[in-house]
Amino acid sequence: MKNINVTVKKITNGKHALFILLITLSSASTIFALDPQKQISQYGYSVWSRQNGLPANAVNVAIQTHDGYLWLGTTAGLLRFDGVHFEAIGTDTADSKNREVIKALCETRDGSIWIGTEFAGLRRLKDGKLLPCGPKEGFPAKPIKALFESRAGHLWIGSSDGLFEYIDGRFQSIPINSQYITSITEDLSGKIFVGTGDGVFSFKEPQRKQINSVINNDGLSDKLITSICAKELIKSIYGDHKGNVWIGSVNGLVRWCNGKIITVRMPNGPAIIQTNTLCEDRNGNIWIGTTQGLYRFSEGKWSIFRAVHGLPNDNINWITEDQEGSIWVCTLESLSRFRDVNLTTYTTQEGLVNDYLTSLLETTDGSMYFLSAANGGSVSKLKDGKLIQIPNSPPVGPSFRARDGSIWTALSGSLSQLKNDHFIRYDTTTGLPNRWISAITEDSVSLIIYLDRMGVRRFIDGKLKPYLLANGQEYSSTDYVSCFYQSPAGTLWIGTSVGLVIIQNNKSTNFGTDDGLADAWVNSIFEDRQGSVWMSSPRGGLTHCRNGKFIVYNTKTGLFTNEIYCVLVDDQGDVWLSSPRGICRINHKDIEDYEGGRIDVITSQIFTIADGMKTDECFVGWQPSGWKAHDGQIWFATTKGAVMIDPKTFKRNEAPPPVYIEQFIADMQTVRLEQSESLRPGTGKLEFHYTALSYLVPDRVFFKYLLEGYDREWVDAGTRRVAYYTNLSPRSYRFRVVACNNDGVWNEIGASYSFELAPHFYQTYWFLALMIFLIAGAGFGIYLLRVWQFLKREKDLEQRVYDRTKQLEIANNELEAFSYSVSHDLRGPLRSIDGFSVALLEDYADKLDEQGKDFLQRVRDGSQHMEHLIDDILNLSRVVRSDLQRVSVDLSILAQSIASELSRSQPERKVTFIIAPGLMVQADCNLIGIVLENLLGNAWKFTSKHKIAKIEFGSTLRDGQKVYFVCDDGDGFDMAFASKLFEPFQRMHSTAEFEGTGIGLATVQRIIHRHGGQVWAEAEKGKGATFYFTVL
Amino acid sequence: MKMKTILLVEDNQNDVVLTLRAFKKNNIENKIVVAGDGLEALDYLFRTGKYKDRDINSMPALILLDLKLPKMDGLKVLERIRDDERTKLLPVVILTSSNEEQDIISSYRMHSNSYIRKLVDFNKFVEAVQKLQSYWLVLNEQPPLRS
Repeated sequence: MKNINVTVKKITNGKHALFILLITLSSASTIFALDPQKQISQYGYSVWSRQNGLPANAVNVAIQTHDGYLWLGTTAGLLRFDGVHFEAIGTDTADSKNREVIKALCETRDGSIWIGTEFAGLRRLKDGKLLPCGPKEGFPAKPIKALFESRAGHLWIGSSDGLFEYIDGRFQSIPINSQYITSITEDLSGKIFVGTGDGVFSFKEPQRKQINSVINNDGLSDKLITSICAKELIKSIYGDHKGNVWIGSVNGLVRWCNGKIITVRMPNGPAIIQTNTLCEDRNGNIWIGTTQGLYRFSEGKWSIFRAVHGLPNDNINWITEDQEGSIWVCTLESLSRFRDVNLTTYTTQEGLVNDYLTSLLETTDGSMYFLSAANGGSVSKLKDGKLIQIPNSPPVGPSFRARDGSIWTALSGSLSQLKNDHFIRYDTTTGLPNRWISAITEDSVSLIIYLDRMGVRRFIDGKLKPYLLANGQEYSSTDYVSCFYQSPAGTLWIGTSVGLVIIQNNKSTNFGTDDGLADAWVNSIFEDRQGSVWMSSPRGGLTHCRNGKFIVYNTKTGLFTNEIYCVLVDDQGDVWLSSPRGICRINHKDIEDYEGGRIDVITSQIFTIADGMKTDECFVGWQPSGWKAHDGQIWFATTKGAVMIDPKTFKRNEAPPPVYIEQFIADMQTVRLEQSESLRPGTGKLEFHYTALSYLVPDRVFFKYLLEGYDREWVDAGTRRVAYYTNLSPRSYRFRVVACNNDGVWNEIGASYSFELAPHFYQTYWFLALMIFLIAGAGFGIYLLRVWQFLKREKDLEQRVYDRTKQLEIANNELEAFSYSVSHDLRGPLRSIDGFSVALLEDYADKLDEQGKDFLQRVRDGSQHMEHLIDDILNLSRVVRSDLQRVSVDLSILAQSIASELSRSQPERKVTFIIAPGLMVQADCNLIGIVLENLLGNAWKFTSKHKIAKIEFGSTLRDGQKVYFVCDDGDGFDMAFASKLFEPFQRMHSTAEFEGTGIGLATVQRIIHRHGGQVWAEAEKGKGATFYFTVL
Repeated sequence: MKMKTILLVEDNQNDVVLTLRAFKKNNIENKIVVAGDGLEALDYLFRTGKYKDRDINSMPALILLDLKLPKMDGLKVLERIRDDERTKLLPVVILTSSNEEQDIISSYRMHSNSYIRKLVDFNKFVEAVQKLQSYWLVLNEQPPLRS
């Protein structure tokens, strides 16, 4: 259970009553502050310089404001830092006048940031606006050296030209006996201490009866001005929480305590070290920035960090502590930060002989021994926080802590025992073969070693003896042994490069991947408190042997890497692994859940340089490269020192980071964030720049954002501190962003910003309605246009029909005129020919011989034939011209009357007419009569040579259609000519055989066609003919 | 009784000769006046032009009128004849080559008294003229003359 202490301090300054709540989570695992037990070099250390983004050559001052931002006063003006990005604030970078050298910064309780510049006097940043504090406002432009807010809430301003106090909106000059003010502080009793070029002046803060009362020198001297370090150039002054006032000058450091000056002697440096700046951390440690590096004074103990340790510059301008307990150090060329880390690394800086550690182990008295095979071998010992070197180190390698408290270590042809910090060495001179010894252990009988290509041997009294099994036979395998583990129960586990061997009750059993091992190569074995055994592989992950079963962990089940160098389990049951990529912890709950089948994937928590390691590379080669100490601490050997983790005091950053939306850019224009904005229509590109102020490990500060109105789910942004949106539809939105700190503690409230995207005129509802109306209108218009087009086309067609009809009428008229002309004019000459031929025959008969008469008769016949031709042609054309007037016609009656007439014309002929009765048809009576006249006439004509003939008129069905026919048994004709039958003037027979003009059938065909019917003939020469016709 | 004249309106001289011959063969002794075109026929009937001195009392007993005539066609002539009180009762026989139905109808509509086709076969024409003479000049009672 965590206890929460709430300390309430009430501070009154007459006008304001202000409460400051200091909430302290008192559980050791939750406070993040620099552990004074560690050396400065053991903290996590980060540097920002020009190389990684610091846009200034020198940082003079740094403060963290209550909102979490870190503000830097630099030679390039004021910078705001969020752990990732430096933002120039309150100054226009283009305005060189504003790029002032800033010497002092102070945040007062009204939220103002006061900025003291070297040449441009005082400025004040309030609510994002830079307010001038010049002569107009009652403050003379002076080079500012120091700014300090007293507990009474008064701002003290130290310049190179006097001391000033700002109370209730007014600046007051405070006369003291020095004009060159360098630093100001306040002690526990409320006394103001002012460091000057002429020593330190201290006085009780003046009490005022009236706000505007003027304080003069005499008045102040009434209040007992104490002068300390007279005539010294004071650089820094600091009143700590124990009542001391620390005074740093060019001559070193003194402590003012209970009216006494105590000189503070700083170790490891010149006798006089100029002290530039002072800072007290939350644990009461005093941090001293000098011209010779960084010093920490902690309960009489010193720790130093200089350029030789990695500090960019030994000349320190300023030190401050942030809300997360980290110490920020401002130097000439950089900004440095020390933060607490969970992993403590011991390196040569802390006294290790060699950083390249190859094994580590703990003796029964609680001492940690660090063995390095480098440079011929070295052994360091950590006892009571001190690292010492064990002299006379033999070659060291694979090691083992024996029951008797001694340490065995080996290398090729060398086996040494370290007892009471003295080495007893066995080598080839004592009979040891020159073989590589890779693993050492012991059982109840003796020490057991593995010699390369020889096998497992016992080492008794300096001699090698065989390792015998139950049957009396030697354990003869020469497989390479990476590690041994002798369990308290007496079982020997042998990890080899080809599998696991378990020797129990002097019987050996082999296990491989087929038996369920993660990998054949077993390079470390560890038994946890529950008695289950863990085995690691440098290429296959982790195997957990629990209740006789092997359970495999590898990258498929969430392990961060398969390259495991060493496995340890702490007292909480959490599994710790070393690897080339850092150290990993698997929570015991994950293991229980995974092995219980409740989860499929475990979570690997990885620790790297960011957590205090000096390298991510752990040592691989032999064991023990990791060690669990008696107090539960977990140790791993790395190529740069020994890493210690104390799982019991494992700290977790519980503070959710403050989240801010810093900038909102819409189409390249920065939008004011003070109020919600309505963006102009068509804004296409939106950018949100946000941040979360957790400085410990900015790389592990993760963000999630959500644009309400667009995103359905939170967008996982990772470490990205900007979100982009494009082409949003118009409506109102709310951008929300949340962040977590380096330990995954989320600020679930985060930050949000509401805005509205105004619609384009064409995205509004009224426009939509208008468009619908317009489209409907257009549709109707198109409809009307089509109708109009149809009507026009119909009109055009009508016009065309009218025109054609007119043309046809004209053609008909012309044809009629032609026919008329033929009627009248062609006959006249014929009549003359015939008439005068007759006249000749009659009047000149006596003068003509018989031949002459015959010739004249032929002339007459010719002219008369021509008359018939003319009549037929005129008939034919009349058929074409005349109107069709359909009526119901009885063809049978019509045929009968024609037949009667034919019979009458040649009564001598014996022709039988067979006429089917009642054949009714819808046709033009006159025209259909012409058809029958022609067809029956033809039949009559072509049967004329037969004495007895038969002519038939009837109807039949062909293809479901009624067909009329006229059939005779006359001369018929050759079907080869059938196609020519219906052409005008085509004759099948000579005129001598049968008379005729050859127009008749042409006329018949035209009439039938005008009735929409067909006419055709079938015949055989000499056997008669049949003419068929249809009428629609 | 004085033989009445017959007015033959015919432009074709061959037809005129043949017609006269046909009359002759039928022993028609009536004086035959031939007009070569429609205007001349009207001149004769209304005593105008070259016939202005003609005897006022001698109107033709029969007018044989061809339809196709120069200057004024037969139907027009017929129309004038029927239009005028002096001539409207005169028997007019259309004597033409045309057997066009349209011509026949138009002629009767203009109140022609008969329509005879001039056939190519001269003998048939003679036959027709004989029948014409016997009907119009012998059987038919002449309408009273008017002045």
